[in-house]
Amino acid sequence: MIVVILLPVLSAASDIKDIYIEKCSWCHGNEGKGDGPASKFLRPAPRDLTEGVFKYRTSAEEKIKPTWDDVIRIIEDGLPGSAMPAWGGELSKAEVEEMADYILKLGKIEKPLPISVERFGEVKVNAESIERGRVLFKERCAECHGTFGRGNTTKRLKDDWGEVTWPRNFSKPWSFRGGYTREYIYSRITIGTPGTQMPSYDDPRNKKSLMPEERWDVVNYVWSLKEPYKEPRGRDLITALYVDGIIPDAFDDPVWSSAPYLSFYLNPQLKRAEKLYTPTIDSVSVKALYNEKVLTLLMEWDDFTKSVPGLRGSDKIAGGEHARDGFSVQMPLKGGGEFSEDERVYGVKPALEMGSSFRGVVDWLWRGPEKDKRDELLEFHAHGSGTLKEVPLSASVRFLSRYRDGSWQLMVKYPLKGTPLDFRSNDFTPIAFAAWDGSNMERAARHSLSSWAYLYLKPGYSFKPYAWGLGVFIITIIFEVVFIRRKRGKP
Amino acid sequence: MGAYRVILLVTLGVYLLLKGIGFVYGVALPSSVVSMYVFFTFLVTVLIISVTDKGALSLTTPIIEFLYKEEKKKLRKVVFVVLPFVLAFIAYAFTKPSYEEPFTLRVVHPAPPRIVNAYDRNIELEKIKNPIRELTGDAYEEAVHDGGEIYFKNCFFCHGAKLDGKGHFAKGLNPAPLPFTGKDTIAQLEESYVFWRVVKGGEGLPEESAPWMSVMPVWEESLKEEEVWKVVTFIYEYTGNEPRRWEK
Repeated sequence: MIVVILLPVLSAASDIKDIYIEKCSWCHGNEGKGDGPASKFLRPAPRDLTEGVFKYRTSAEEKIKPTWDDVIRIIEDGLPGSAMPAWGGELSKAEVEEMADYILKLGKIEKPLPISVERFGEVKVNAESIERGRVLFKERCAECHGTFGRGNTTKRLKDDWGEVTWPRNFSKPWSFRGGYTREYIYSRITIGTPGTQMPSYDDPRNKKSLMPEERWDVVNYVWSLKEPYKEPRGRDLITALYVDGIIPDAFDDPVWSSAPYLSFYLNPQLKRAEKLYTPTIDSVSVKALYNEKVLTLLMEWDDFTKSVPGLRGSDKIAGGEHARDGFSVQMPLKGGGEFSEDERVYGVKPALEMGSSFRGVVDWLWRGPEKDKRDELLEFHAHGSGTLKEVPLSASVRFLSRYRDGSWQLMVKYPLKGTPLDFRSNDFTPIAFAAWDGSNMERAARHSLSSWAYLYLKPGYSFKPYAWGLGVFIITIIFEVVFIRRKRGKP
Repeated sequence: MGAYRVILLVTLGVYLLLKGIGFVYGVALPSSVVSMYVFFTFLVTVLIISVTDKGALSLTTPIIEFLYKEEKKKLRKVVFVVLPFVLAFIAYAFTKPSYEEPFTLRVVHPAPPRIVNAYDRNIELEKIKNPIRELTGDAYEEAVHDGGEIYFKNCFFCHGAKLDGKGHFAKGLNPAPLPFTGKDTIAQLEESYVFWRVVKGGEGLPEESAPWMSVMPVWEESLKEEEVWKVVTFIYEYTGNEPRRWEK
C-alpha cells in the first residue's frame, strides 16, 4: 500500500531529473555545473546552477535568492539574446514548476523565496524626467554604458567567472534578457546584475547610488535610447534613391535624411573552419543614394569598441593583442554589369561568402585603423572558397568612416561605371555584408555576415512615361476624328 | 452567351486561379508570369471562337454595330471621350519604371542524386544504411548520446536547443534552418537523404534549391562518417520521429 502511494511521488522526482538530462544537460551539464558539451561555445556561458546565482533576478533582498517568478520566467520565456530558449511551450506548467524546484535545489536555495523589489515613486516618461535622467546617466553610468547607452565601455569588464562581458546596448531593445519593459530596467538598476560588474544603485555603499525617483529618471532616459530602426524586419530590398546633384562626403548632410535605413542581422560565420561562436556585432543598418555618377552606401553598425591595435587604450579594453575592425560589402563579379535573364528572373546569386567557380564575387573590404596607420579600403575577387585574391582598388571607389558613441559609420562611393559591375537605374544587384570586431579577435574567417539582399537603384523623376501617355492620347483623338469625318462623308 | 462575355469570363477565371495559387501558398506568383498566362488565355480564347464563321461573326458584329448603328450613338460618344484617357493611362503605366524584386522559388527538399561522392568514395544513396540502427541496448543508447553531444557542439547554434530550427543564431538566416520537430521534415525523409544533406551541406544542393543562399556547412569536411550517422540518429530519437522507409 505504502509503495503504491509513494510510487507516483518518486517517479515524479525521477521524471524531472530525466527531463533535465534530456533538455538542459547539454548546456548546463549533468550535475548542473554549467559544463555541458555546448558550454564551451557559448557566451554568456550557461549558468553553473550549483552556485545558485541568478543574474536576472528581481528580488529585493541583498541575499542572492531569486523570486519564484524569476525562476519560472527564465524557464518559460528563456533569456532573449542568449542561447537559453523559452521552454514554455515545451514543458507543461507543472513541469516548469517542478523544474524550478529542481534548479533551486541544485543551487541549494531554500524557500521561502523573497518577493520582487518594490518600485516606489514611479516617474512617468516625460521630457523633464528624460533630461534629468540624461544628466545622471552621464555622470554615473556612461563610463561603462557610453553616453548614448550603446555599451561602448571605457574599461574591460569581467564577470565573477573571469569571462569578458559587454554592457547591454540600450539602443537594441531585442537584446534585453528580461524583456523590454521599464519595470525590468528599474529592477536592473536597483539590484544590479549579480555576478557582473553592474552594481546595485540602491546599495548605500555604492558611491553612485540613486534615489528611487532618480532611478526612474534614468529608466526613462534609457527607455528613450532605443533605436527601433536597427531591428531587422526581414525585408531584404535596399532602395537607393536618386539625388539630383552631388552627394557630399559628410555623414550629417541633410541629403541622407530622405533615405530610410534598412537593417539586417549579422550572424557569425559557422560554415567553414575558424568558426566564430561568440560574436559581438549582430546587425547593420544601411542607406543608399545615387546620382548621375556615383552610388553611395552608408553603413552603420554598433561595435562596443573602436579597436586600434597598438593604441594603449584600445589594447587595454581588448585585453591585449587584438585585430583591426573591419567591414565588407560583397556583390557579384560581373564583366560589364550585364545580368543574365536567369539572374534577373530567378534571383540566382553567387554562393554566399566566396562565390563559386562559375559565379564570382567582388568584395570591398574596409579595414579600420591601427597605430600609425589609417583605415583603408581594399578590393578582393573570389571564385569559391580559398580563391580570395586582392586586386587593385577599382578607380575612384572612395570611402569615409567614423566611430562615434559605440557606432561605426562607413560611407563608400562607387562610380556607376568603372567597377567590376556597372550600376544602372532600375537594376537589382545582390549584396551582402560582413563585419569584424577586432577587440573580439575577429579576423579573416572569424566574422559575422548577412544573408544575400538586393540593392535597387530606384529611377528618379522621369518625364518619359508622361510623354508616352500624352502621345497616345493625341494619336487616339486623331484616329477618332479621322473616323468620324470619314463616316460623315459616307451617306 | 455573347462571345465577349465568354472571353472575359475565361480570362478572368484564369487570372483568379493564378492569383489564388499565390494566396494558398503564401508566396505570390510573379506578376510577369501571371500576365503572360492571362495574355495567352485571352489570345487562345479569341482564336477558338473565331475558328467557325459564326464565331467570327459573333466577334465582329458587336463592333460594327457599335461603330455604325444609330441606336448606339450615345454609347459611342461616351466611349470616344473616355478611350483616349484610358489608352493614355495604359501607355503611362507601361512605360513607368516598375520595380519587382527578382524572386527565388526554392525547392526545400529537392530530389536527391543517385550517387553522392563523399568521404572519398561514391555512395549509392538508395543502398546506404544507417550503421547505428544495427546496434542494440546500451551500445545504441550510447551512440545516440554521442550524437547529442555532436549536435550540441555543431548544430544547435542554428537548429536550436529544442531542435525546432530556432537556434540563437537562426535569426536572419534566409532560408531559415529546418526544424526537426513536427511531422513534415525529417519524418518525411529517408535517413540516407538526411545523411546526404548533412555531408554535402548547402553547397551540395541542386540549382533549383538555390544553393547560394544556404549557410549549411559541408559537414564531411569536419565530421567523420560515423559521427554524421550518430547525429542523424539523435535528431530522430530526440524528436520521436521515424525515418521514412519504403519497404515494410
